[in-house]
Amino acid sequence: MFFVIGGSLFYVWSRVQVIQLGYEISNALKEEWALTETNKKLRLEIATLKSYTRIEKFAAEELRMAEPRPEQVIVIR
Amino acid sequence: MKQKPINWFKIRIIFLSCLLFFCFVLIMGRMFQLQVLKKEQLYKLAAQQQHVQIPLVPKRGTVYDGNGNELAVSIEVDSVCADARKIVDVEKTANELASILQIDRKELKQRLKSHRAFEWVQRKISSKEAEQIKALQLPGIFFLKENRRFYPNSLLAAHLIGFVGLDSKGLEGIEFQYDALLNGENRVWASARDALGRQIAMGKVPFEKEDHYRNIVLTIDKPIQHITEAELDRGVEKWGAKGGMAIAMDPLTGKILAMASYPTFNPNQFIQSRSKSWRNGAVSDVFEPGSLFKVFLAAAALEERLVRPSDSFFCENGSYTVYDRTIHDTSKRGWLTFQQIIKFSSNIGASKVGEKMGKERFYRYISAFGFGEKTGINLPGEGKGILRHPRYWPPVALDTISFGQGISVTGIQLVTALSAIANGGFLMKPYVVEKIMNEKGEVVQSFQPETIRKVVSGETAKKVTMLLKATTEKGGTGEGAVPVGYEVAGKTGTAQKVDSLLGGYSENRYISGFMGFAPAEDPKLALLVVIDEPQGGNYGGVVAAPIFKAIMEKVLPYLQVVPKGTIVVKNELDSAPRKEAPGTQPLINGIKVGKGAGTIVMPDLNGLSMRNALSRMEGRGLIIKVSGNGKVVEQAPRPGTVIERGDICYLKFRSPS
Repeated sequence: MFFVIGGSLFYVWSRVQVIQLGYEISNALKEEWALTETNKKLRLEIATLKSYTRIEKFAAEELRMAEPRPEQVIVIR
Repeated sequence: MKQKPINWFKIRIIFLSCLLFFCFVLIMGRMFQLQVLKKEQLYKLAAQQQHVQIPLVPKRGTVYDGNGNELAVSIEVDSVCADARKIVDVEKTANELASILQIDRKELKQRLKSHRAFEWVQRKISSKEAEQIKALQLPGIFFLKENRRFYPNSLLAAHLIGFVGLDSKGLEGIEFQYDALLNGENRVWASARDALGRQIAMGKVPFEKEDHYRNIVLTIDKPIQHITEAELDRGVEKWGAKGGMAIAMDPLTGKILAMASYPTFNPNQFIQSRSKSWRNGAVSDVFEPGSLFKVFLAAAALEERLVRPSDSFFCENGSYTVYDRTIHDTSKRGWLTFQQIIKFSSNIGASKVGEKMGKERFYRYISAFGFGEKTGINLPGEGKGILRHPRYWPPVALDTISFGQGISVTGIQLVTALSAIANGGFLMKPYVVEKIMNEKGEVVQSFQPETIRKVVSGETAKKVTMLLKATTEKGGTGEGAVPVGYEVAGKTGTAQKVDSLLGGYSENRYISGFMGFAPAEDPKLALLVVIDEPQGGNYGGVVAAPIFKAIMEKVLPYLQVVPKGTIVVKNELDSAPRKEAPGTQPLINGIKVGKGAGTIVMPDLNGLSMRNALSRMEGRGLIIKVSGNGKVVEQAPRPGTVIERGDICYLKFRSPS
């Protein structure tokens, strides 16, 4: 009798656990998805900031950089 | 007789039994009704409530350049939709949405009053706008996820990449050509949900990873593409020209490193530019090559051993009549060698070489160089030019085609044929797609250099290169195309445009071009620059050559080809990391006493920048080894030491911070 009750309680507990884990998996998947999207958005932002037109403008106008003349270039190998 | 007392007990039992039986029948009936009669319908309803099917937006693959920089990326964004039946206050809703999204208030109000269950308000809005709208919590307004295509470099390689429409369909360029590969499949995410609407993952995880979209890696090199575009834009604007194009190719492989056209557009807002500027002129525009074509005449003539570079031709002092036409030269000349004909770009000289070769033979070479057929670069709208069979050539055509009139070509054909001269005679198939990857980043298909045919011998190619090198030397038409410290093989071209109204050639509308490769001896880059209708100057050597020079000047150092005269020093840090710890330097004791003429006194370089320090040390025959970067903190030998040519100097740099 004791075993029957214990066994059925265990069975019920395990079912509850399965469902509980189901919720967690589902949330984790959603989170993964959202994070992947965020990651992609950040990568896009990096790519946009790395646009040469932007960097060139910034370097020339704000930092007052200029391209080196050929005789100013020293190559280090 | 005593009346039998009513057995209430029995009656109660009977009554209860009947009641129970009645209830039983009722329940059974209801069960029959639910489980048998309405079974299908209820099953469906349950499935609808317990299972959610979230349609996932099909992903679209990314387009990369050859170094893995993103050129086109898809990001999930929100689209605002409305269920017009559930909107409480149309007036307020429309006002608030219109002010956030900056759309027409009246028109939106009209749509919200329609009582339809689904209505787009605005598609693909920014995340900032979405947040603002979500914060308002307007009833009847909801969001859908959609993919939006972003081009992070905006104008860069716009013509080549193309763009997609609102429904993620490629409309131009690579986006169009590889649309089927880039687009993923429509999928749904099936999942169960409980009474409260929360999702539970049951059984196996139904979330499939496979999207079946492909990422595309182009051969384009972002820095080269940027330089090419920037210089082309500058050139076109300087000459007030109608348009232009530039193509850079790796002559050994046929890889396209840059492809630019002008006018250009921003693929992020392609709708705002005119459809004319979407055209990828580099592959689709067909034009007469003019003198650029003499390169291929020279190759054919040398391969057939009809002429030697030193053979002389009489150039008729600038005016030569063939049949009904008179051919002119820009500068009147008498006898010229074949080399000079190319160098000064004499039309009359070229005609005479052409006459010597004959139609059939010349035609064979022109087709062998790939003219008159598509190059197979696999881009939409590629032109194939106009090359008629010699059977249909009018008598004068042999002469005119020799200097590039009466034949039409595309930019990509020219640069491909030129590459065949640069690489020793092999016509390579040009390609822009390097590889195709699946969503996991594994290579599904990669493209290798492909030789179409051998057009001329290596020896001939070398001879033509010599001729083209002479063209860019002092006095040649292509003088302006040579950056300091490099050797360029190239050819100028100026072609009158065909007047579509009057027929015949236009008097004042020209195409100016320059094509060439560098370094001449070991070509790393073949480049074509064509400017359409420049104002106030028309010669290829004046208009296109400086643009060619400006591009080469910046791209060659990037390709590790340094100009002659550059100081090259060895970086100790890379070869022997941290060999000399401070204080234990073996060479510091070597105070050498010089032996007269060859001796130098070691200057004090302390605190100088690398550039200043090295330029001071340069030209004295010293072997300079450097480590670190920033300002000089240590030097060996010590300042004031007399040193000799061939001595080794160690310089140690550290940044001030």
